[in-house]
Parts: sequence; C-alpha cells; structure tokens
Amino acid sequence: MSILKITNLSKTYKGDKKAVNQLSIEVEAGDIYGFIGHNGAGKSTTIRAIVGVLEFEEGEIWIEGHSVSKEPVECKKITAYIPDNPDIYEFLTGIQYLNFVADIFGIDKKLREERIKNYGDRLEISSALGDLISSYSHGMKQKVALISAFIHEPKLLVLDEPFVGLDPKASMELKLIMRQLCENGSAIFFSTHVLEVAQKLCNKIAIIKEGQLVASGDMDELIKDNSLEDVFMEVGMND
Amino acid sequence: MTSDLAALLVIEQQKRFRFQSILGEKNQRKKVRMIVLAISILLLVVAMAGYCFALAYGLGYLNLSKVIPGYALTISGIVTLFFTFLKTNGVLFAAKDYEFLMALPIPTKTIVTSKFMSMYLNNLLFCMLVMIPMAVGYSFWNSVSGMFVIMWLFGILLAPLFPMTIAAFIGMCIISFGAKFKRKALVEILCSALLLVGIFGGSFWLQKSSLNNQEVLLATLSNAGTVVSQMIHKIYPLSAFFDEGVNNGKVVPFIAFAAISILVFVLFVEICGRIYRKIHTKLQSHQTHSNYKLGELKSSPLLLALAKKEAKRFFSSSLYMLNMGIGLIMALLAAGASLFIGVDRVIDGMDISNIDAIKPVISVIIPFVIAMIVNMCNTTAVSLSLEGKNLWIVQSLPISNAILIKGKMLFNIMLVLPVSLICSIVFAFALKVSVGYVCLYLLFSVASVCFSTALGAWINLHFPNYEWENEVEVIKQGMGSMIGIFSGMLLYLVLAFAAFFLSSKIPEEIIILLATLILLLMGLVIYRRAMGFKSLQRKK
Repeated sequence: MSILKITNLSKTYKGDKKAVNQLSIEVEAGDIYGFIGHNGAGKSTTIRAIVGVLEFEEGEIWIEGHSVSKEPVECKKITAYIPDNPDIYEFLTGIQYLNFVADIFGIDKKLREERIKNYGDRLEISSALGDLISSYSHGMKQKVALISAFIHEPKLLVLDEPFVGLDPKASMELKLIMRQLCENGSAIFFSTHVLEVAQKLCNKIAIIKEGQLVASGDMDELIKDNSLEDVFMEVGMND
Repeated sequence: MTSDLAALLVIEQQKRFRFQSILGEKNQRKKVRMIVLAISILLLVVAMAGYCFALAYGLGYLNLSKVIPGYALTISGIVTLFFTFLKTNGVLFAAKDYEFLMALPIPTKTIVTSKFMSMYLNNLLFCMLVMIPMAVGYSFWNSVSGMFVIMWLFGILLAPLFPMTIAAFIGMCIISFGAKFKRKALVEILCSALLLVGIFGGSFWLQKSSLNNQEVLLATLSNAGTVVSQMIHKIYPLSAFFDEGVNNGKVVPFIAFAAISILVFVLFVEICGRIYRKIHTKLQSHQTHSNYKLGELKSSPLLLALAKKEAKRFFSSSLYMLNMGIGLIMALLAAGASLFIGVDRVIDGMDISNIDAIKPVISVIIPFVIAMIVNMCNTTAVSLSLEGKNLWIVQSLPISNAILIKGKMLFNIMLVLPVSLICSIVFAFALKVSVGYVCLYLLFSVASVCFSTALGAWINLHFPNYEWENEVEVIKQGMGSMIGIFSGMLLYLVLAFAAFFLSSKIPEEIIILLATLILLLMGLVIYRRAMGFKSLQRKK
C-alpha cells in the first residue's frame, strides 16, 4: 500500500495559470522520493498541498488511505513537514518548541526525552536547546525543525529543501537519519536543487516543469548510464 | 539627504497603508470589505470632528473661548504622546527592516528621521482632526485675523512634534534600559506600566489639585477662563505659549512654541542618530549559554500546551503586553483605588458628565464598567493573525482549526478572567453590596469574559492578516484588534446605558442577571460559529 498517493492534483493561483497541473505521484513505504524542478516549477505548491497547508481545487491526495482534504487531522498525525524556510516560534527556546510539538503529537515523556537526546546529539544542537530560537542561526533553526519532525517518527516525511543551511556534518547525519527512517517503513518525499544529493540518496525521482510532471520513476531506470543532472537538463529544461 | 528621506518616507507610508494592494484589488469580496472599512473610518472621522467642533462651540458658549487654543493643543498632545509611546518599539526601534535599511548608503540620522516622520504624518492627521474643527468652533465666538489662521495652521503642523519627541525619547530610554536584561520584554512592560500609572496618577492629581469644588464655584462666578487655562497649562506647559500667541496675536510666544518644538525634535534626531546602532546591537545581542543539559520534560494535555504557547507569545512581546494589558492594569488600579479612597472619589476622577445621576445606580452599572475596561484585553482578536510566518506550524500539526482556536481562547480566559473576578470582588466590597450581588457580579464577569473571548476569535477568523512586517500592524492597526476591542466596549456601554435607564423600572438584580444571560447566549452562538470555520485563510 502506498503511503502517499497524489492523483491529478491541480492548483491555480490568481489568474488562469496553473501552478500545478494534473500531477500524479505515488510514494511507497521505504521510498526516498526526490522532487526536482527549476524555481517556480510548482514543487513547493505541491508540497504545501500534501501537508494540508494549501488548499487545492482539483485532484486528491491520500496519505495511508486518508484523504488530505476530507481527513486532514488523520493525515497530519502520520506526517511531518519542514518548509524551505524554517520559521519556527522565536519566542520559545529550542527545548520548549520541541516539547510543544511532542505535546501536540501526544508523545510519551520518556520517549520524547530519548528522541530529543538522540537526534539533538546527532545534529549537534543539544547544548543550545535551552537558548531562545530568536538567537539561532538559520542552520540551527533547521536542526530544531528537523528534530521536531523526527520526534513522532512519522510515516511520511515531507521536506522542502532540507539541506539548505546545514553544516556538512549535519547534512551527512540527516541523510543517515532519512535512510534509517525509511528502513523502518517510513517514506520521504523531498524537494532539492542539489542533484548530486538526490542521485545518491533517492531511489525514486520526479521532475516537474511548469506545474506538470515531465518524468518520474525509479532512479536507476530513469537515469540509466547518465547522471541525474543530464536527465534534468534534457527533460527539465528543454521545451 | 532630502531625496533619501523622501524615498524612505514613501516606502514607509506604502508599507503602512498598502496602497498598491488596495488599488490593485480585483477580488470583489475584498473590495467590498475595503469600502466598508473606508466608510467606517470616514464616519468615525466625521463623528470625531463633530465632537471637537461641539466641544469648542460649547466652551465658547460658556464664555471660555480663550481656552480653546490651549485645549486643542493639549488634547492633540496627550493623544499623540500616548500613541507614539506605544509605537516607538516596533516602528522606530526593532523594526523588521532595520538591517535592510542600515545596509543602504544612507546616514543613520536620515533613517531615524524617516521613521519619526512616518509616525509624525499619522499623528498629524489626528491633530488636524482635532484642531481644524476646534478652530471653526473658536471662530464663532472670536473675530479671526489672518495672523490667527497662519499661527493655527503652523500650530497644527508643529503640534505633534513635542509630544512625539518626548514619547520617543522615553521609549528609547526604556528600550535601551530593557536591552541589558535577558527578559527584555518583561522589563520594558514593567517600565512602561509604571510610567503610564505615573501619567494617569499625575493627571488625576493635577486635576484634583487644580480644581477643587470651591475653586470651580469661584471660577464659574468670576474668572473661569483664567482658572481653566491655568489648569491646561499645568498639564501641558507648551500650550501657554500657543495660547498667548493665538489669542493675543503675539508673535514672540508663538515663535517660542515653534522653536521649542523643532529644537527638541532636532536634538532627539541628533542623539538618536548617534546611538541608534548601539541600541539595536544591544537589542539583537542575545544571551546564549549553550550549556543546556536535557532533564526531565513536562508534558501537557493538548489544549493546555496550545494555551501555554499563547502565554509565551504574549509575555515575549512588550508591545503585545502593553497594548492588550493596559485594560487589565487600569481595571486593577481603579479597583485598588476604590478600596482605598472610595468608589465615589474614583468616579469623580473619571470626569463623567451627569455624575450625580449615576451615583445612586452605581451598583448596577459597575459590572458593565468592569467588563468594558477588562475586556479591552482581547488576545483572541489578534492571536491568530500573530501566527504570521509561523502559520505553517499550526497548519501542519494534527489539530483541527477548532482546537487551535480553543487553545487561544483558553489563554485569553486564563489572562482576563482572574482580573475580572478580582475587580468584581473588590468593587463589591468597596460598594458594600450584599452577597447576592457579589454572586451576580461574578456570574456577569464570567459571561462577559467568555463572550468577549469568543467574539475576538470569531472576528480574527473573519479578518486574519498573516502578511505583516511588524506585529504593530496586527496589534494596534489591524481590523481584528480594532473591531474586536471596540465592538465589545460599545456593547458593554450600551448595556450600561440600558441598565441605567431600566434601573428605575426593573430590580437591579434582574437587570444584571438578564445581561448575563444575553451575553452567554450571544457568546454561545458566536462560539459555535467560530468553531465551524473551515479555513484559517481569508475567503477569496
């Protein structure tokens, strides 16, 4: 059974131009699914529709069989989302924010302590968790946002440009965590502009251009003997 | 410098009024909403201008027309002082565009001037609204020369400068002092609250010390104009120069008024320009320890977790605390004063006409007055909009909109209800009413707080604004805050009048009980509507 299923998704902003047009994607348990496209192609719109932040007119999105438009809370219980810019509550300290998210997801006290310690240490942010988020750098905010996503071990992790702002050690650790989550049966759907990372990390890929899917499927089948960059330049950029 | 200043001013005003989005709006619903808002503002302007004219005309009718210039300047000055003080943090300091502006090749003094002038333009509109109708009222009782017109027009232009400078200077001192502490917002709110208490207390004392009953009697009999003028000059000394210049056509006092106004402004810009970066550096330097050790975490149930988050948001912003908390502080002060100096003297100090008619029925009116003041603190009217760029967090969490709103409502009730109950008990004690009355007061308190909380949430759901640059746009200038606070106040005022007129026909207890039931019923209807909101975004 697929964890994420998008069928014929369309989203129109002001005017007639469709930001996303008849997009269909299926993400299964264990998938690390890369979503690539140039700026303004419709990646963030698709991602925001998946996580229930953005309403859409046509099509349907299913998360583990629950409809995003009809059962949003059920979908959000098993999903975690990190936007491209981790604007998190600056009036809280890192630990207060994580505790708040854990409260909302109803995570047991012991379990949340364990997970915060584990991911905090791995991303090297534990010692700064007592400071106000307003004092954090972009990368530190990104790390706290990532821990808040891992804290409830979601079935589906939706990330918009997750590697932006992270230091090399944290980037490497994030890739490891992503693989571990998928080995445990979760699925990850993320957008990126770093094609080398996508090629190494993902088992599936989708390329979006002007709101339409121009290529999707298994990474190996899609790129064959080429690099992802070659494929992207061929199908993503050419008219 | 001039072209830079003009460019910055244009940007500031565009930011504030969002001309482009208004002019370019194609959505019919939004257009209608904007037209309704424009008409409401216009009506308010007409009503205020009418009131100012009537006030001036009334003074003239009482043979006090010579008081009008000083009075007009003092009203403009006090309001300008109050609003500038509340705006200093957010517009002049700690503005979102600080880093962007400071990186531009523009002198710091120009940036300070542009921020100050932006506030000045807004205050100028208010001063015009007060001073022009009052000048018309003045002209009915005095012959008006060309010199008067010139002085009055210049007076309008100069009126906001002095109080603005004083308010901005005090604000600057508080912000620089608060910046030294870890809990900046809390220190700022404490200093601001102390200052406001001082201002209110001072003006109360000045009023009392200037005009006791005997003096009023003497004044009405002989030289009322002089006594009232002296009182106004005591409150706002600069008005003495303006009075002298305008009433007697004397140029020197008027020039003194103009020179002082301009001089303090120039001096402020000079000082502020020099330390502007220093203050911001202090404001932006955070105390970080980076030595956190993970200990035992406290878990909270869902609703309480959301309410606690709201509490942290509230107590982290001095602007939010001051603007919303002012009603609570005023109510507690009035309650404390009623206990120590008596309810009668508190009411005397409120400067209400027909005070003697109110005194016998005060026990039935007091719950409405408490509700009106206490519910000026209505966080639900703005807390949704304050999510701003963080909206994605609550949107992506597994909670329904109803739960989110309930969390916001719970915090408002936790904040306002204790104050409302305390004030009710204290006033009941001061008025020496029966136990039955105390119970009714408490019941009414609960009903009014619940009603206002639900009303605020419903209004904010109707008028959300997540695209703000500065929280002042939501807290002070937002539709939600304006409608949420003023509609509640208006309702309690109407209820108080109704209670006043009905008190001779219906037993007082029944009136309070009826009002409680009405509020509970209305609150329930509004609550159910707020809970049924499908989207947090404004309907397109």
